[in-house]
Order: sequence, then C-alpha cells, then structure tokens
Amino acid sequence: MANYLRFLESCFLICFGAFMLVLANSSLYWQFMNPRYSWLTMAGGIVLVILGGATTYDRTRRPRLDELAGLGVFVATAVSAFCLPAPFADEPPTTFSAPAVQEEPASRFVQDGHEYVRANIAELLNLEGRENLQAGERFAMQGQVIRTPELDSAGYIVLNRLFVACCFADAVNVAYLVRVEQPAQFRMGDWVGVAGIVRPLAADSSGTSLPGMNHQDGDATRKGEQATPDATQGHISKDKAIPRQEGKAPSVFTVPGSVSSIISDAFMLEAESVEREEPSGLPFIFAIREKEPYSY
Amino acid sequence: MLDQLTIFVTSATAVILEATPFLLLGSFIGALLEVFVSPATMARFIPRSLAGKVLMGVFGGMVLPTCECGVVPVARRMLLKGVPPSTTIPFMLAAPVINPVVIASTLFAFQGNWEVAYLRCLLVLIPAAGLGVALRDSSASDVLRHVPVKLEPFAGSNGGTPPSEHEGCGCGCGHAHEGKVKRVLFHMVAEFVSMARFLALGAVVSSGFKAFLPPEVLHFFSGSPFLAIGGLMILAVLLSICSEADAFVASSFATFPLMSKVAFMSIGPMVDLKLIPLFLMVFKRPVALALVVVPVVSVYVMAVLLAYMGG
Repeated sequence: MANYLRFLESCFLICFGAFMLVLANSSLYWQFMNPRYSWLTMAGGIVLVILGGATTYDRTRRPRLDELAGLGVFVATAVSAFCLPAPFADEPPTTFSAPAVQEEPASRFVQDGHEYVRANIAELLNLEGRENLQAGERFAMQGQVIRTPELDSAGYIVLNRLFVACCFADAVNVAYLVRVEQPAQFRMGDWVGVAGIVRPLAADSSGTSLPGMNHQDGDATRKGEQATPDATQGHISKDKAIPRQEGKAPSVFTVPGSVSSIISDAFMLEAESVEREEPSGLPFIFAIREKEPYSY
Repeated sequence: MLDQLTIFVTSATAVILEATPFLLLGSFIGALLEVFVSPATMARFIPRSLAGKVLMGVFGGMVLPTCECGVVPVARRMLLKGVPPSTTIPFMLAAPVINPVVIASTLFAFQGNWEVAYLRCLLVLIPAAGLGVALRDSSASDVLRHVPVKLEPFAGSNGGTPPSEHEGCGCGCGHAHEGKVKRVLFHMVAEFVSMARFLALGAVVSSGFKAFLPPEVLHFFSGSPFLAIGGLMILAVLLSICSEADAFVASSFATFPLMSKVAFMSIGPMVDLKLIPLFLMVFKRPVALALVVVPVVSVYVMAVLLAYMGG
C-alpha cells in the first residue's frame, strides 16, 4: 500500500509540474497569472517534476491520504478550469499553442487632425492619481462596454477591463466613463476602441470645482494656462453628467471576476470615435506604465 | 452560474499556481536549514537580548523576503534549529509585509503615499513584536506540535560518529537518508506535500468567496469606520490574497476609509484561509489561537484608534 501511495504521489507531483511547465509556455497562461511571472511558474514546474522523480527513491516515505487529496484537488480544479468555457476570451479552452508575439501599437496616432496617446484604463487612473492628468488631453483606450438604463439616459457608457497584478485571484476592475452620442448602439460586453478628449465631470452639488478646473470661471484649464473663454470647451454641465446618488454605492460597476471597481470620479472621456474591434493584445491589463509608451 | 463556476475554478487554480513556487522555496529553505545548518551555527547569529531577538525577527524580511505561503515551513525549521520563538514568530508574521517587495508594491498601488506604507508596517510590527515578547521564555517544544526526539549515540557504539550517519537523522521524518542532496530533496517533498493540502484547501475556499460572494455585501460595511475596518479585515481573511498584490485590491475600495484599506493589507498576510490550517497543523493549539486572535484584535483596535485620530 505504501509503495502504491508513493507511486501515486510521484505521479501527482510530476503531472502538477508538467502542467505548470506546459501552461507557462502556452497561450492561455494570461487567464491565470500575469505573464511576467511565467518564468516563476516554469521554475516551479521543473522543481516539481524533479521532486516527483526523487520521491520514488525514498523507499521509506509513507504519504498520507489527506496529503494526496490536496494534490488531487489541484489537479481537479486545473482540469475544470480548462474544461469550462472561459468568459474572458473566445479561444477554445484546450489550446496549448505557444503564445503569439504581438507587436505593440504605436504610442501615438493621428485621426481627423487630432493626435491621440494610446493608454490603458489603469494608466489613465494612475495619471489622475498622481495629478498628471489634465482636461483637454486626448487619449485612446480599449475595453468592454457596460451599459445601464441610468447611463443610457445620461448619454454614457462605461469602458472596463480587469487589472491583474499577480494572479487572477487579485483581479481588480478598472473602468472609465465615456460620453457617447448613442449608447444604445453598443451591446453589453462589446469590445471597443475609444479615442476621445478628457473632460472633468461636472462640479458636485455644492459648487466645488473638481481637479483640473479653473476655480474662477469653471472651465477646464491646464496648470498655469488661461481659462478657455468658450464654455463648450470646458466641463460638462451638471445636468448632463451622471447624477450623483448620495449615499448609494456604485453597484453598477461590479463585474464578474472582481470584488470591486476603480472608476474616476473626476474625469471622463468624451468620445470622438468609438469602434468595435478585436482586443489589441490581451484582454486583461497586466502592466501600468507611468510614462509613454503606455502599455495600452 | 456557469461564469461564476469558471471564475471559481480559474481563481483557485491561479492561487495555487501563484503560491506553489513560494511554497517550494520555503520548503527548500527549510530543507537547507535542516541539512546544512547546525543549531550551534544558528545560535551564533541570534542576539542575546530580548529586544534584539524580536527586532531581528520583525525586520528579518528585509533580508529574506518571504511570501506568507512559504513562511510557515521556514519558521518551523528555524524553531527546530534552535532559533527562539521570540525571533521566529515575529519573523513569520512580519516578513510577508515588512520586506522591500511588498513595501514597493504598496507605494505603487497608493501613488507613492508613504503614510500608507508606514501604517501598514506599523499595524503588522506591533502584533508581531508583541507575540515575540510574549513568547520570550518559550522554546520550540513549547510552541510546536511535533518536536522530533534528538537521537544520541548509545554507550559503546561507534562513538564520535556524526548524527547524520545514525539510523535516524533527527529531523522527525522517521527515516534515514544518504547524501545531503538526497536529504534536501526528500525533506522538500515531505514539507511541500504536507503544506500543499492546506494551500489547496485555502485556495478553494477563498476562491469560493470571490466567485459567489454578492458584491452588495461589501457596501453594507462601508457605512461607518467600525464596520468598514472590520468588514475589510474579514474580506482579507476570506480572499487570502498574496501580500504583493493585496495593495492593488485595497486601493480599489474607493468608498472605504483609508484605515480600513490599511487594515485589509495588514491582516491578510498574517491571518488568512491558507495560514489558519497551517498554524493549527504546525503549532500547539493555544499558540495557533494566539497567532490568529492577537493580530486580528490588535490590527482592529489600532486601525479604529488611528481612524479616529485622523488616519
């Protein structure tokens, strides 16, 4: 019996290690872990395969059934993860092809006479957090569409993506309000690329100006620059902004895979073009760069 | 429902994939300590004063950064090698947070806010140091559930033969080994497989909460500092997120006060669903209970006090 259990343990460890090795080199690794840790998974896989082989030589080892059960649980969850359809990608779940190397798109592009900077939602939020984001700047982002009746009536969609720092278990939803002409033309879950101009959200009901706004005339300005005299270049008026629901949590912005969402409460993107498209790169965000070229 | 199930198994698999290399590293360090480092060698590096021992434990993570997944096997081996509990227990609690990697990730997630990083370290340092002081007169046999019996040569036997060449090697695994490399490998297997079952259990349970917990439950706790701090601490224990990544999750709780986010980041690496069964397996019941209760109570009390002081 002890020999059989030791053999079983050896098989579990080798399968566990082999799975980690294959996954680390496959096109599906991103669904579980941040790709920059693939080397760590590979190293762990190699060590497990070695340990699985070594344990067969330890003739006095007597594995316990509950220890083997722990290894078995992992095998079961890993198999299930590959058998169930992935809600985050359209790829078939059993593909173990090597990841395709994708060229990063250019950091800036020109469209309709305007230059846009490509960035991802998390990077824009990071810029805002570090007070490096100014109204009037033009950015291009991509993400999935969220629609609600309240957003539709106010003329907004929410663009969202999952940000994964280490592994899927710590995924955080990052989102941005995007003002569009016709929210109804988009379906929930559509992947879109948006190019637009950053605008501050309206001042709150107390009349306090939001960051990025000139306190004198309410128009958005860059630091040290004069206010733009034309009010249409400035902030969105209060009656067009999302009505603030005092005391209510932003429950509209939770998405599967994340217990919480980060969304800017100071800025939004006024879309100048919105196109349905395939994701450029991976659907999740794995990196936040603090300066150009952003990871988009 | 299918989406939630997929999220559940994906999250569980991801947690295990992420933690396994660190558990292997912890098992490897533990095996190296067992095979290559003698208690006498260890004793040379331990300060004599209580303050020195505790401080060495609390700040040991700055030299040996360790994830909470791998710190328990390392701590167990340290205790078996004669490192006093007043050093080992603070190291076990503090190293997953008070280390350069986690401090850097905290600063990044909170846009360079040193106050957050400082408060996080403080909320971890105090319970870790407190337990170290409380265990100042303890030895390994007072805290560990299983302490192997030291094997001594019989009178008249080949006296002077090193212990490693006796029938048993004294590590408690119950069998003899040949060669140090083999001994390291065999110890690694034993340690890893023993801990992996708790990793699997913790991953499955925490992923269950992630996948099936209604998000509206969180909003119930955001109303007052008492509820917010307690609620996020419970969430930290349930989600069992790695200490390198929990700062990003904490920063996403926009409607929660700052101290509740700091409490979230402080309690998770010390007490979570992966660590609790490990504590119960490795330490005696009263010690395991203290390892859970003391950090929870102290982090909560300090977080509430700091919140009312304007933190």
